[in-house]
Amino acid sequence: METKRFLRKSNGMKKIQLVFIVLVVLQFSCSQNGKKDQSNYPDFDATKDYFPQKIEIDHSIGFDVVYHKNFKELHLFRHYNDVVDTVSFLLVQRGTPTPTNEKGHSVIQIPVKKIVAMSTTHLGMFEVLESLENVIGIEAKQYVSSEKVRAMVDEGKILEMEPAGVLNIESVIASEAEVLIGVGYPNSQNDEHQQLINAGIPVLLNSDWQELNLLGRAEWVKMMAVLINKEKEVNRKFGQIEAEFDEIIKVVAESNVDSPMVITGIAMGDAWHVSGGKSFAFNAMKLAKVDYPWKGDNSTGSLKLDFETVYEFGLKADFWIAPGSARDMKGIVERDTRYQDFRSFKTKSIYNITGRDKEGGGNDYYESGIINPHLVLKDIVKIFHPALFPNHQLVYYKQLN
Amino acid sequence: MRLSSNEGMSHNGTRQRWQPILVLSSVLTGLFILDLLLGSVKIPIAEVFKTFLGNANSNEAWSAIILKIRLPRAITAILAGAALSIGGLQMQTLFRNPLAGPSILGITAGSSLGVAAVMLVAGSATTAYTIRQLGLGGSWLIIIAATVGAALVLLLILGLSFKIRDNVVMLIVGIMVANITIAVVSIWQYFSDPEQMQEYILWTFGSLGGVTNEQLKVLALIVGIGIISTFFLSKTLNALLLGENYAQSMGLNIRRSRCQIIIVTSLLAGSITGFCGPIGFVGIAVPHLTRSFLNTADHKILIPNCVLIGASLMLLCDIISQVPGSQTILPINAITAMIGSPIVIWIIVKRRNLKASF
Repeated sequence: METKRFLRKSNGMKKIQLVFIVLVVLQFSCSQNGKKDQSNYPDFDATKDYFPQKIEIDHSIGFDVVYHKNFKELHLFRHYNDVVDTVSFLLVQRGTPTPTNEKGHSVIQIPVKKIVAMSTTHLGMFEVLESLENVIGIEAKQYVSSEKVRAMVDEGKILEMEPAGVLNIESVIASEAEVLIGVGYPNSQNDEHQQLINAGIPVLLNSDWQELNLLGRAEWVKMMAVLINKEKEVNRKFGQIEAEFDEIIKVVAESNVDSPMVITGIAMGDAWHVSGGKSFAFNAMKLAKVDYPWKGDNSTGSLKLDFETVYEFGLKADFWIAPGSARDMKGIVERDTRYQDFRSFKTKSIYNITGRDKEGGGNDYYESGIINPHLVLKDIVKIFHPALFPNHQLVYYKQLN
Repeated sequence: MRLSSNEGMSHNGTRQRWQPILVLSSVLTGLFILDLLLGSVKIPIAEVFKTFLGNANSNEAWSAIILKIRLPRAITAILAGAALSIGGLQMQTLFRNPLAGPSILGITAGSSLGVAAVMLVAGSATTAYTIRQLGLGGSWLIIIAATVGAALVLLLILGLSFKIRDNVVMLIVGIMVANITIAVVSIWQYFSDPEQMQEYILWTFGSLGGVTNEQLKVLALIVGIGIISTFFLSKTLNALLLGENYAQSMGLNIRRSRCQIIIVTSLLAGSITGFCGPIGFVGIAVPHLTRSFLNTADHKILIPNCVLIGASLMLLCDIISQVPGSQTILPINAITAMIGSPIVIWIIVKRRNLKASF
């Protein structure tokens, strides 16, 4: 008892000492920075670490965050071609001064309160962070699966910014959005984005699609968290996801299942695009132990092949995953009757990502699926090795019938 | 008059008339066999012949590839080449214009409009589901859409042809109708999702391999009717070449002949566009190539040779588009344009005066 009280007292003493030191330093730094900063940011403490909780990136290749005392540098990398293109932003804590910005990066005040998120992949992430109230605009309700978001659109809390397929710049500006998160495609540096930037709304191009594995894509949730200072929450949530993911991999590794052969995609015209040997799709299937005719291939995107090349393997492959937009066996035959020759057709071993897909609407695989990589992986393992997870029901994938 | 001198030539005997047909037939057969032999999957020549002799292959996949992929594809190439070539020949004669082709009346544009309506508009919302409920789907839906689109434009042109007597005016109207349909398609494209646009753009690349054995029967029937009808029209076409007034004085009902030619051409071009997508340049290039090769303007000779040269050229384009030895494929439309355009230029340079043929 005695010692405890002593410790508590000494802790109190330490606190007083600390406050004293801070005050001295503050006074010193204020006199250094001049009167301007002092008057604009009376509460600013240059020595304080405004972001005690930080994130680390373990899987994603598309972004990086560098922490400073009162601001974060966000770098977005675009691996479109062989050249990596970098776009940087300064995320400055509200109520603190903007650092010298020689390179002219866009400045965003954080935590951001009003966000326009143009892709459903972003919505699943904000929902996990329990920050949907920060989202004030989306592309269109039609493509959204989340009941919460749909309700918020109905209530008028979230606006549709692209209801007719064209971004309505005026509604974005009128909504007083602080940042627009778009989707970064190779040529997405379009005029509309430039107009928004000119109007003072920074455009963050999220390129989660270029990530090459499930966790890498899910980890973009950390970029969202950085914008709203939810590092602590995201570390906890993502940690759970990682743990569940690793658990599934462990189950597969410890089993001695054989590797069934699988093919992907469907012919479009004369060409058949299959997943490349280093692609996102195959990287995910690889975790579930499969044999793939193009596993030795080096392309990260898709591989364009002649119909007969894929047909030869299709005849003997055990499984057929993601046959384009086909939703049932009838849809497969309608496209081309030759698919009936496939072994996977005869054994009804064809699966597509239509488990939570609303026809004419959105596919939840691209919404909550992004942030549930463990469920997607469990689906994939279940398809190829049903015995490993007998109780798991497919969520995002669906067997064609 | 080139025509009359050629008619005189035909008296010299049937040998001169049959010689080119025999030569071209053997070229066609050679290319046909080559098209069956070459492909992405390496199949030994002996195995290919075994398949056709009814012997069992050492690899079951091979006979499936040959019979279900390469054979229908080669036959489609022959049908497409033949149909588009004589379609082009008839258009060039009807309008007495060396630049005419099956696409000139807006037939191809009409097909594109139909396909765009299905892919871009219906594909965008819940209507796609409604269409599927009707039992239509997949490739047949596209074929029907393309044919209906072509037929609608054709009806419009036919209706106008009763009002307009002048063929040059008809030609201009056809080009304008094509422009309008292209404009409508581009507006749809502007408001469509990238995925739907990709599907549409892929269709515009053209494809010979998408026609399966069942569809081939329908296509062969339509093209067969079209080719036979064209043979019956050869006299009419010859008469038209002499000028409308002259043809009329020969007792030809101009309006009816024009109607017949437009229907036959639409049938040929519309069905090929429906099944294979818009394939360009063959329709313009082959008639010129045939005329310069045979040095005649007699349709009785031109039509069979046009069929043979068109089919051979299309087979050649198909072989090139498959890039033998590789696992990839090039769009057939790009190959026909790359081969077709130099041919047209070469003929223009060689003959200097194309108008002389008309």
